[in-house]
Amino acid sequence: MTPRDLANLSPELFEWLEALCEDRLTPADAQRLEQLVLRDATARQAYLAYLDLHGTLHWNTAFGDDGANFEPAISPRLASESSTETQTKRGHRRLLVLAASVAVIAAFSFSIGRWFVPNNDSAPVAEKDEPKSIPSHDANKNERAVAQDHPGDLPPNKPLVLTDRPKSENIAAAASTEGRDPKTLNQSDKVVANDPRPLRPAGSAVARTAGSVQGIVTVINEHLAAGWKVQGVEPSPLADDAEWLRRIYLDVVGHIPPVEVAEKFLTDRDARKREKLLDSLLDDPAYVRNWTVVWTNLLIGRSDSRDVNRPALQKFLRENFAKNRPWNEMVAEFISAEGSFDQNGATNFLLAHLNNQAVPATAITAKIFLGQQIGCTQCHDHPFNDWKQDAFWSFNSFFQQTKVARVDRSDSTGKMKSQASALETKPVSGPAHFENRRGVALVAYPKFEGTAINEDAETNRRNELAKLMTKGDKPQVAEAFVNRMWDHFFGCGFTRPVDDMGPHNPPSHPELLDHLAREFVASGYDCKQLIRWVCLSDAYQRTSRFGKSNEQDNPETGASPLFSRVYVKGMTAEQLYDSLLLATGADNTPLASGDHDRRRHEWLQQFVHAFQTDENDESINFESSITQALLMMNSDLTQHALSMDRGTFLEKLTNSRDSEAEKIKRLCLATLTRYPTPKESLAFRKLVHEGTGARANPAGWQDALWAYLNSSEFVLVH
Amino acid sequence: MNLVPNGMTRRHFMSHMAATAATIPAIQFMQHLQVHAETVKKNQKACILMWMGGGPPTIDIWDLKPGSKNGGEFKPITAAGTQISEHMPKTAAQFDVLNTVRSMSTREADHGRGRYFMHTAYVPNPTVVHPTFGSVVSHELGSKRKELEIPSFVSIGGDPGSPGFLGMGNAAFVVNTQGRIQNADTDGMDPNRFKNRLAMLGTIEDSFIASKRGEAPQAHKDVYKKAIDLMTSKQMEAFRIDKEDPKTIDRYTNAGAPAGMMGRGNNDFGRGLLMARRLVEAGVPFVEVGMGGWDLHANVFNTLKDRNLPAMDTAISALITDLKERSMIKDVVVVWMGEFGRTPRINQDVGRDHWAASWSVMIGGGNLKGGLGVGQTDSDGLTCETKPYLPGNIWATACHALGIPTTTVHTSKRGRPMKIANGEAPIAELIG
Amino acid sequence: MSESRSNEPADDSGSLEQVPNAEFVQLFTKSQRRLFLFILTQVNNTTDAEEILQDTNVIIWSKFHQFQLGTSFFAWSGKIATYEILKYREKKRSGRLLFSDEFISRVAADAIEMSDEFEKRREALSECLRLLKADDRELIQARYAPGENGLKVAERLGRPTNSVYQSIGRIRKVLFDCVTRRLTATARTT
Repeated sequence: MTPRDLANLSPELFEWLEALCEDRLTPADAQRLEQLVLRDATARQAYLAYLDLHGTLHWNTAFGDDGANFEPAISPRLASESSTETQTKRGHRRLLVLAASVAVIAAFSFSIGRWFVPNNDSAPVAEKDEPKSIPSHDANKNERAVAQDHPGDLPPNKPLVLTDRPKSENIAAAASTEGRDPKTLNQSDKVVANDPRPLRPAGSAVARTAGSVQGIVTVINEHLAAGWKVQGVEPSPLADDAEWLRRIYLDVVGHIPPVEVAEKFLTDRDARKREKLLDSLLDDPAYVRNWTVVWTNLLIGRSDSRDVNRPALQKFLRENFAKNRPWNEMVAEFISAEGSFDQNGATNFLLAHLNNQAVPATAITAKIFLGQQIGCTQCHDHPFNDWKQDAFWSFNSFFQQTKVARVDRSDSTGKMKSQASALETKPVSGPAHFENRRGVALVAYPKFEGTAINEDAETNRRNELAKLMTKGDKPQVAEAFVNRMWDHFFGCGFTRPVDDMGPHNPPSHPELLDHLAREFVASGYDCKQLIRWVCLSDAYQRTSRFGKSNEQDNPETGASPLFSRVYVKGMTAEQLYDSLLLATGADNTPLASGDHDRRRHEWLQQFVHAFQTDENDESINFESSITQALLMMNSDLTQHALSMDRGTFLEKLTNSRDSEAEKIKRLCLATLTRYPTPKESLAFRKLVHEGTGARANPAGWQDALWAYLNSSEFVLVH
Repeated sequence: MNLVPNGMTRRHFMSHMAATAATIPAIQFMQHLQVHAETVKKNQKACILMWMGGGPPTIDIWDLKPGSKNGGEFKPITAAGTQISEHMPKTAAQFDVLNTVRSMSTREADHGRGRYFMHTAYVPNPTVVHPTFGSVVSHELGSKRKELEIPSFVSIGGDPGSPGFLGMGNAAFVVNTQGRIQNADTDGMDPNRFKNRLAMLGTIEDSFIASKRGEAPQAHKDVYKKAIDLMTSKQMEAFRIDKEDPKTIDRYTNAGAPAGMMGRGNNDFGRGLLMARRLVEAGVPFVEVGMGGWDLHANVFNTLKDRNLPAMDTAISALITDLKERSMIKDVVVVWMGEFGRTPRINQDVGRDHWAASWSVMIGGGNLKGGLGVGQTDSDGLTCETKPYLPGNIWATACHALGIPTTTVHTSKRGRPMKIANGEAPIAELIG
Repeated sequence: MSESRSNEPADDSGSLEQVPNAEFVQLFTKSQRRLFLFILTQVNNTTDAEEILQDTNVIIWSKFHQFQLGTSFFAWSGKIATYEILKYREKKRSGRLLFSDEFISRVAADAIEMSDEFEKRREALSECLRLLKADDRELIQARYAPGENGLKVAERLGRPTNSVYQSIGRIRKVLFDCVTRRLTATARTT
């Protein structure tokens, strides 16, 4: 940093630095200072040097010029415990004679030491004072194992293990008496106050575990509230109707609420309106469309790189979600599917992944349906979960009889028109073959979670696998699905990633996950019921804003989720496309199936990148990307959205007889599902009257709509 | 709609913008325009990562095993002080500035995990997302390049990964090799009108950011700022490989393969490397260029001989020649790697499967030594006989070449210190 | 003491020293100012910076046996400070934080990088202080007297606040420029 460098810096920088030294920098200037300092390395140096100067002046007059000749500052807490405490004239600053205080400090250090996870690294790694609850012994052991496996890394966060809360039967017993934890009671009461449907259990302990919505919702509430209590956080306040409405629409049916619905809902005085709305959404055709999109993407991805019949899979999913087919039955269909890919849509899942000795099919089946990542175990034992290499190949062995066949399709005249792929079962017996890392050839017979099946040619292995995977009161399939759904609604699963469950990655709320999975099975794998439980829970009613004391509840930082607020998620490309069209009427049949789905799929391809590997994975370059920003600002899609042509939202709005204020409100409601703030209204009016005096400026309406569509508030689910 | 007269250039657009002033985003926009210098500094340090998606069989490319049952069909040829595959003759001729590291031992043989490990130097961990190395370089060097108006990390058909705790401001800008960035201009809109839109957007954004919902709203704003910078920059020309002399394009892309395979001008990887050179020239410190088609579980030799290697040989040798001719080779470090290598043993389908225990990467340029084959595997290629290396060693070596101190420590969002390149040391043989 | 230690995790027991040795104590005392300044660049407020320094010191003491003599004490203790700063920011988030996390991490990274230069700047500063006009030196000393700030100085002097702020700002800028010039000059001559 030379004088010349400094001369090139903005004089404003030094004004801000001055203000900073005197504690009178305004937040607005702080933001400008921050931007400048982040952008410009010289400004950053100047910032540092200036504060260093300020600090040195402060330090030297406070402690004397020579850094080596002063007594260290020690916590006043300690000082007060010390008999040798020296009160200086400096009032607010207490200094302590070093030598005499060592003993006190050493004693004190014990209590502090407990904040830290023991670490062999010489670096003083301070793990957050997180584990206020005592982690179970096993969890601790796992953590160390992981830490050793990642020498340069730190152990993951402690899981939240609610060891100090009573077992669920105790809770149930307590709940039926007066002896309930008052805080827990309050939490439930808040929900009751807001959503007047009585969520409290009917009274008996049995009622709450007998699958009633209220009973299960209460269990969720109690588990989460217990976590808040242990961690000392207050949950965020309840979301207002507008925030909740927008979120539940996006989560359940995949698009923002139509403006008419929003208007009606916000003025509706029915005390049970949230619950009623949820019921209507679960019966909405858009529910079926949304979950078809979600599961098509999971099962075969978005890219067109595979030889599958996408429309047939979508048809299969539509039919099954429409009749709320139990999830275990759907899973069994995918695992055991046979036939051609156009006639049995369920075949497309395996067809997409059967290359390379069904290695990808093995890994992806485990990942999607069991929430377990076992891909790496094909070559070696999993470093930290239960999957061993032979388990991978035993699982793989179930797919050994599967054969991909080509079937000719002819039209009515008998001429061959096209070819279809089909899944067939060939009568193969015996084990799968694989090599361990030393190149030793080994074999694996079909075996799932310890249960082997007959390895002869007559036994249909995929049928057997489908049965094994969906057997029992709490198979992994159920737990994985509950975890995935929880993640879908809260923006964070009980584990992260949601499909990497196992002892190496313990869930944040193991008992709740366990309970929900059992209830889900008991309900007959009823997807809509599961959604009801989640969406009527106290936690889902809360705002995505941070509250007064739950800043720590931020999984973005790697913290274990507490669900004391609803986390913000980005809209998927499909949600954005559908919401944009719905809000602006840019498409005459905004949510029509068929053409709409195809157009959307083609539009999506620009963001999708297939990795071209045997694992058939892909990435989508969409959320928070420059590509998305450019798309929203300048693309044809946005041009259409801003169109004033006949039938569009803007055309109808500007030609309506409503007052200008009404129109402004309506545009904001149509895009952000809320009314404009006074500041926005003012800015909006300025736009609409830009340069034309009292007369309205039609381009201003487009510009305002552009701004609303480009806002983070529009593209985020919050 | 077209309110800007024909012939109005980006420069005009900018000066027009600078004449007006208003609310925060507009001011940012303006400041940005004023700050940026006209000319770009020459000879800035940069890294080009050639990403071989799928896991390349390095035993057939960089570390051949003639005489072994695992050796396969190809013979080695001399490349400076080492040997490489006979199907890489043009690259062999440029090997005075390139090196192979033949004792990579990386454990992760799953595509997703290998991609993560090789890009970040850290194994996947559920509680933290580590930044991909391009984001690290963007963070370290990009912010120091005031004159740079386009993103400091560009991925051309690569698999770049996440910026992790370094934030979306350091995310890869993902483009294809077409050379045109879609939706990157306002289609001749009146700058004042665009300014009005940004001002209105700023009003909406600020109140949402202030509503405290985590980092996503601010990230959105930051990304918009980058996008707007991009839209108004004449450095966008760097993406336009069609501005190059057709002879140059030909040099990068014509593998001399039969038409229909990887014929003239149809080599995407070559186009990507050419764009990378243009971007690096414009000051972009990290460019990743992807080449796919390496997951060769079957028919490995024919695929390599007829398709992958001729295209790659042409593209890499053209890049190195070009960098030498432009006196950029001392400043640009090139790294070639995939998720892992492939099994020494040849399987029943004449393919090779995933193998992370002993394989090779290629690295060179910058101020690194050249012509070396560092490390050694046994005669069957099954184990490393010398000190095994991790991705952290490769990235630490790249740090050295880029002038980024290997003592650099980043802090995760929870305050965990994260050493650059996972604290590994540069490979001693390559520096000095 | 021994009772407390028995509750410590196993890898903390053994033949560890119970109290820091003299060398540690010396390194500790020497690092105080540097640490304080390091913290200050990230929290911008001297009172808060002192608080954090105190907390940091407590942790440093509790973990002294993890420090390896011969490695950089500043780097080691800086990590502890960084963590304390984070805790402080977490606590304060409900109130008002001037700067973002990104800002803090960037600044911290550069502060470590520049810490040697800062040592030189501090040396130059004492010389520059001597070169100040007497009036200016008095004013700046008044400003930095313990517990003081620009506002209080203005009240005591009975001068308009803004004018005092301006004077102090001018003097600080003079010092800043003086230090920068001196450093550039030394760089040229050596």
